[in-house]
Amino acid sequence: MSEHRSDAGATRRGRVMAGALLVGALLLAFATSHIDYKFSSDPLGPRFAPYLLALLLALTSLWYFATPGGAEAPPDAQGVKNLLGFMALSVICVALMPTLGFITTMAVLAAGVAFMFNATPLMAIVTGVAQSMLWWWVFGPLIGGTLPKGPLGF
Amino acid sequence: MDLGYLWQGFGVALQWQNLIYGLIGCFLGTMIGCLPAIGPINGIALLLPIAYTAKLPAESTLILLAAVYYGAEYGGRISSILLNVPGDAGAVMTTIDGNPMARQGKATEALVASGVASFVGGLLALIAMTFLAPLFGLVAIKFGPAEYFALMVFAFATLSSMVGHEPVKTLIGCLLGLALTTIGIDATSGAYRFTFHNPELDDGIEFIVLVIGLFSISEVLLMLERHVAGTFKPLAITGRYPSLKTLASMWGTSLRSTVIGFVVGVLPGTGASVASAVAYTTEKKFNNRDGTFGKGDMRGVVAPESANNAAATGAFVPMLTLGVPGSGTTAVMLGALMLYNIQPGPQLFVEQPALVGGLVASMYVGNLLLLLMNLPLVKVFVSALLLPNWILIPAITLLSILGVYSSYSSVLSLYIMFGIGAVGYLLRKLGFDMAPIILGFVLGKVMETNLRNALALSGGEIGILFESALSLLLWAMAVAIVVGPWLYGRLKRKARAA
Repeated sequence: MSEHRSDAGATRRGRVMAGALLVGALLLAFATSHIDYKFSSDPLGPRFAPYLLALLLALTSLWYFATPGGAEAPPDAQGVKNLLGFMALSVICVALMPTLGFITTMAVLAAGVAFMFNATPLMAIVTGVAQSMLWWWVFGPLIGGTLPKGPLGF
Repeated sequence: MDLGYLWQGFGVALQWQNLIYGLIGCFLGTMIGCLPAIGPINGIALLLPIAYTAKLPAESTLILLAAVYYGAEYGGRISSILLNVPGDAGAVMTTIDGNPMARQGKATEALVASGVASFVGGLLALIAMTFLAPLFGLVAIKFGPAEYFALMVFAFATLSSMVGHEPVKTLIGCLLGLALTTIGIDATSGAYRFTFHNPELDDGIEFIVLVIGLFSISEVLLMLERHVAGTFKPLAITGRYPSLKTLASMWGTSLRSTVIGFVVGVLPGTGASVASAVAYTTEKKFNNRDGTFGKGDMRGVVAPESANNAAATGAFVPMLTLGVPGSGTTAVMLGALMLYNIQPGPQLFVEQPALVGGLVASMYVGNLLLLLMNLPLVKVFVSALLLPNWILIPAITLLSILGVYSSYSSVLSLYIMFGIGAVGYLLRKLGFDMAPIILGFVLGKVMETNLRNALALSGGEIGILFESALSLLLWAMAVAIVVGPWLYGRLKRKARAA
């Protein structure tokens, strides 16, 4: 587990998050005002809980802004590359999954993740293909789930 | 004391398919507990959609997931002892004396003693749960919407025991979980709340999506950020089995720690990590005359392991009887029950005795299986530690995607999962715990629904929330649990100053 430190950087990051939460609370309140309904059998209605939560979230985010506490150190350059690479690769593979099929897209994703954890290119490809086929078999034929097939039938 | 639910339960637990699920759960749980990369909550989050997709009945799913949970409490000690890295939060204290024992060539002694301690703690706690839990069922019929709302307030009040030294983060986590429950069609009025005209959001954020995003994806992101590569190098398993006399001499430590663990586990909001810490420090405080704790004392292994298994069992008491999770992991299991449209709470013993009995009975069987499995098969579990991250993490990633997709066949759910994972990662970096988010999510809908139903019944009169003796008791307990520790601290400081 990483250490949490209360230094200037941690304070700044905490306050940025507090600001984001405050904006989120305001957006929640705004969206709540647009909830449309004709009748509710209870006196509170569907807007009460979201309004209350928006208020509480706004107040606690101000509290958090005042006392941001500790935080872990931010990622280094390699860490940032890994994070952005993983998210981009995951979103692309998931978007293409219904079209290209589970095995193909997940083989690419698994290989990419393996490579990010220092597998050699060859072992990354082997891992990707083996894992995508293994889990396709477990979730498909073994337990009866339905997974998308690509143009090649898998 | 009517234990009919338990005999009914053995009938369910001893069905061959449920025995197999229990065995699989025990094996997987021990393996998962052994691995520092994933904890029981991740394991349960990943297995739940598999069970759901395979259309396992509710009792079989519960038996499987519960076996994973308490199996992980057995498994966590393996990496604590052999690697000096706890396999899960409940095994942190086991490293203090367990690893020194392994370095002294007594790894076998440590593993056996801790395995037996885990069994004793789990079994005694189970016996306590068997007799204690049905007592809650006696008040089941007294719970209406107002009482349920007061119960939820009490459940949130117990979060104050999770706050640590940054209560604002616990509160925010809870509010975020509550806010997520407002997405979807409001059952009372039919209004669409935050669905953005997307029919896939009409049922709200799915529980599996939230759990896998928060625990698995955020964990993968944390590991990627730290670019943790390579494999673990566990110590060799040397030494001999401890004698029966040596094991028997640990009975006092085991019993004391079991009591501590069970009581802590029953308290909502605490869990195995708190239990093992309290048990270890208590044992050290009162029985460390020779100063051997921290240098390879067997009691330093027995105490936390009895406590964490007792706590894992104790956490089921509030979950089953009140519908209030005893820990983050039981919060996930509560969500599993809701997936099957089973409302946990005081009515569960009355309405579904076979389900509850089957779960409790399976835990007796599972505890025995774990003891029998852990002693000879420890080398098999250790081999899991040798898996490099470039094999393990892609597996976790694919399982996460499969878990969500196989349950909902929705690409949008996958995007939401990754989005939640990214937010979870940021929050964890800033020192937020994920358990309050899950607690808020699991309890939020019940809380809002019961509040609105109670006020609908009373025509808007808020007094209904404070009318019955049961409601007033729950409100009083909620206030006591928040104010009590603060008041106690103040009185103690005053006494010291005087």
